[in-house]
Amino acid sequence: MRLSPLTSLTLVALALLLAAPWVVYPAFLMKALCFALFAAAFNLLLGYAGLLSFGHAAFFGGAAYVTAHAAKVWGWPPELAILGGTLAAAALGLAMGALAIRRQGIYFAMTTLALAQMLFFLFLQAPFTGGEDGIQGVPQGRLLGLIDLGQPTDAYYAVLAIAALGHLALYRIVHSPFGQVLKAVRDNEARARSLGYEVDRYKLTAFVLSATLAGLAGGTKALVFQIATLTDVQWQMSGEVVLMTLLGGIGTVAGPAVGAFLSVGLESALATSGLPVPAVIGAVFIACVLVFRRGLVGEIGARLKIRL
Amino acid sequence: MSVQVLSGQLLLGLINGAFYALLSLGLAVIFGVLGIINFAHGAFYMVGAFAAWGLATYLDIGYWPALVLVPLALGLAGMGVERLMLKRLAGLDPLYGLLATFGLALVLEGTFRQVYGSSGQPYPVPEALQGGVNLGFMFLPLYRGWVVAASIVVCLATWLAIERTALGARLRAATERPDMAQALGLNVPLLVTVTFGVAVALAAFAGVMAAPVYQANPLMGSNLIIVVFAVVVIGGMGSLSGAILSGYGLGLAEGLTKVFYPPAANIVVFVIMALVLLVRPAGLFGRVN
Amino acid sequence: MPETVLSVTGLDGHYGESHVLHGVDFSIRAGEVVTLVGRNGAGKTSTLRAIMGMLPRRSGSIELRGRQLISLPPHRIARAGIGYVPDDRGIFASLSVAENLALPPRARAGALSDGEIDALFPRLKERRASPGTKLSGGEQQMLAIARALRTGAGLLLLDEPTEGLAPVIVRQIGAILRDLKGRGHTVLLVEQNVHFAATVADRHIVMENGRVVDTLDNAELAADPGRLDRFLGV
Repeated sequence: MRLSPLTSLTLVALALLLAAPWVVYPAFLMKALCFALFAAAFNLLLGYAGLLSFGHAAFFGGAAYVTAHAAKVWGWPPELAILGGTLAAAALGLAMGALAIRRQGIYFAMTTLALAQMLFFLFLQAPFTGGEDGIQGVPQGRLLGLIDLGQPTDAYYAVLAIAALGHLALYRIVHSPFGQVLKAVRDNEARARSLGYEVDRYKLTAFVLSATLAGLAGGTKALVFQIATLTDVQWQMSGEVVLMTLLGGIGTVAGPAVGAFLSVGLESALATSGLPVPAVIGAVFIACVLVFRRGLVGEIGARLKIRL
Repeated sequence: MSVQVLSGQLLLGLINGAFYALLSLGLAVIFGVLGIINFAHGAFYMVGAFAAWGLATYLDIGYWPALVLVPLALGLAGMGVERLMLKRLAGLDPLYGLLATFGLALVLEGTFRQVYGSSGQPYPVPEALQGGVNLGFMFLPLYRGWVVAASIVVCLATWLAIERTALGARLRAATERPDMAQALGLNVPLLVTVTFGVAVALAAFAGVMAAPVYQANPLMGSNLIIVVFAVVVIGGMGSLSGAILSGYGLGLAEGLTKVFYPPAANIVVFVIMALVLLVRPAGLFGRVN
Repeated sequence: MPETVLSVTGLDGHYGESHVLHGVDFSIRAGEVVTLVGRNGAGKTSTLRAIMGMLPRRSGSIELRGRQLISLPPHRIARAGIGYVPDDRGIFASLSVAENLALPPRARAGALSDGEIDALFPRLKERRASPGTKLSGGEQQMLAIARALRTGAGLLLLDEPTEGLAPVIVRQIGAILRDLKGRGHTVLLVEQNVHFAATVADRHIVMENGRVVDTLDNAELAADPGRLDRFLGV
């Protein structure tokens, strides 16, 4: 049987990830996987619809709050709490997206950033989020009544399954007829419009799908790390997911995940170095934009002339 | 409610509006000639405040010289940023300009946070402007009156220079059709660099003026710039007067909100932005982009 | 024989992926009025834009009175003494007529004074304060030519100056071009209207597929009108 480069690489990556907890701390892996899913969801919008959202922290962090609140205060089981957070992100995505797609390009980016900042202030003031402390000590529970999320290794495989399913969903969306229309909109909006496509509906659908999966990532992260805080809804978080995607490769299937692992790895390496982490991240950002716009996966794909 | 409280909050709103106007004017000018949004504009404002504080603390140079020196120095630094960084992004999707300047903002903010932490460095009100006058209906602290007056004068002077002078005509020509302006003999690349520098100098000027009001704080820039983005979305960047008026108007709206419903004060600009997007997607003064 | 003002040799030009000029060769002497004729897409406008340095990629040689221009940026080319009027006239909407006129820096001696420009274009004087694009098409064309002259440019590049204009305006533009020729200006114009071209120009350079394929003067054109039709198609 001959496998495509992408399929074989996916299988290799899965094998590595299945073996990884024997080599790397599960906590690091879970964090990286949550961000990988977050970045991949973001990339659906930037890479395939050409829309730069600078407000995706709202969905990631918003879902984290809802999941944490549902699990801790309402006592929901983990799968329902995550589902609740994900649906909340979807609803938020619908509202924010409907406003933001009324403007294009650079205005779209500024609009999403401003709307996300408004949500940040709302979360800061809302009584249920716990203000500066956030929601701490979220009970992990047993996923589907079976998997004890309190056990690091078990929790890791659960997160891996969620991230893999999320990626699979994204892959299917991108390669569906819907995904083809999105790319047509990205490449030439006026042309897509003149061909009779309702461009705004496609953009909004992509926005909601992206927000939903970003919410899935945020809700999962809140549950396995037992905490939801303002960090996850701040504008810096919106910027970080842009960087992960850029670092790995905008518009590639594997890029955002690779970028997320690089970025989380870089941050944990820097944490003990005494260097100012945001400043280093900013410098990486500038370097990527100036000389490395295709990102790691995009660059490798272009060198080897394969689609990754 | 007393007249004093109302006029006091409106004055605070006008001061916020003064900074919004100076920054959104700079953003609009940069957008005109470069087609990009300068995310680092807030960081330049923050560095302006720190530069004033640093001059006073380390070199004993006071407010008035700082008000001239800091914009000059940061304006030159801005020209360096344009030449070394933004010029290389010419012809690419303008989103890359936003991302590169976002990175620059992170570098500046991260560095200042590392050195000075997240708390503010106090900066005194210059001697000549200490105290205040009683206007009968309110007490006006002199320095606050000066900030509002100075920003109005600077905004107006910038607007006049662009809309009414020969140099401004060159800038407008380069904004409208850079290739044609250059084919008529205008050194458009130099004009773009200088324009970026002047816009950065405006942000630095705002930063120096802000230091006695808000202290010099590493986070002051990013907090401000996101609100200014909303101001720019509301006003649209097609008209400079629109950018200035939206700045003051939204500052006032914030002040009024503080009087009538304080908890909503820090989101009112975003709420107005959402409403404008619903009713007039192109912005109040904007053309459809 | 008057000196050569413009000498173009082996000029290649690209727009992105498409190769639009394939080794264009021609030269113009001082005081000549020369037209570039050819079908749409033959490379006439691209040739003017390449001379001005406005094509993203170009190579070959462009000499203005012996000075090599190929590596200069557009503003230095304009200041070397070339006035350019594009096919859409290049009037700035955000500038008034007076501002449009005053826009280019006065690069050289020999620029027309304000008085001379007012005498040559009386219509513009009346409309100095109007926004540039509130002018009629003919007035915009006059403004564009006047603006190019104000720099002191000895060589004018005009892209289809008569396109879309009423016959009476076309005659005025013809008169202006003859006046400029009388003052010693050199003019290279792209022109679809062969009849108009014959009334103002000394020579006609025929382009096809990004190359110069023929050159003929007015006498040759009169003797053999079919010679142009072969290239222009009917």
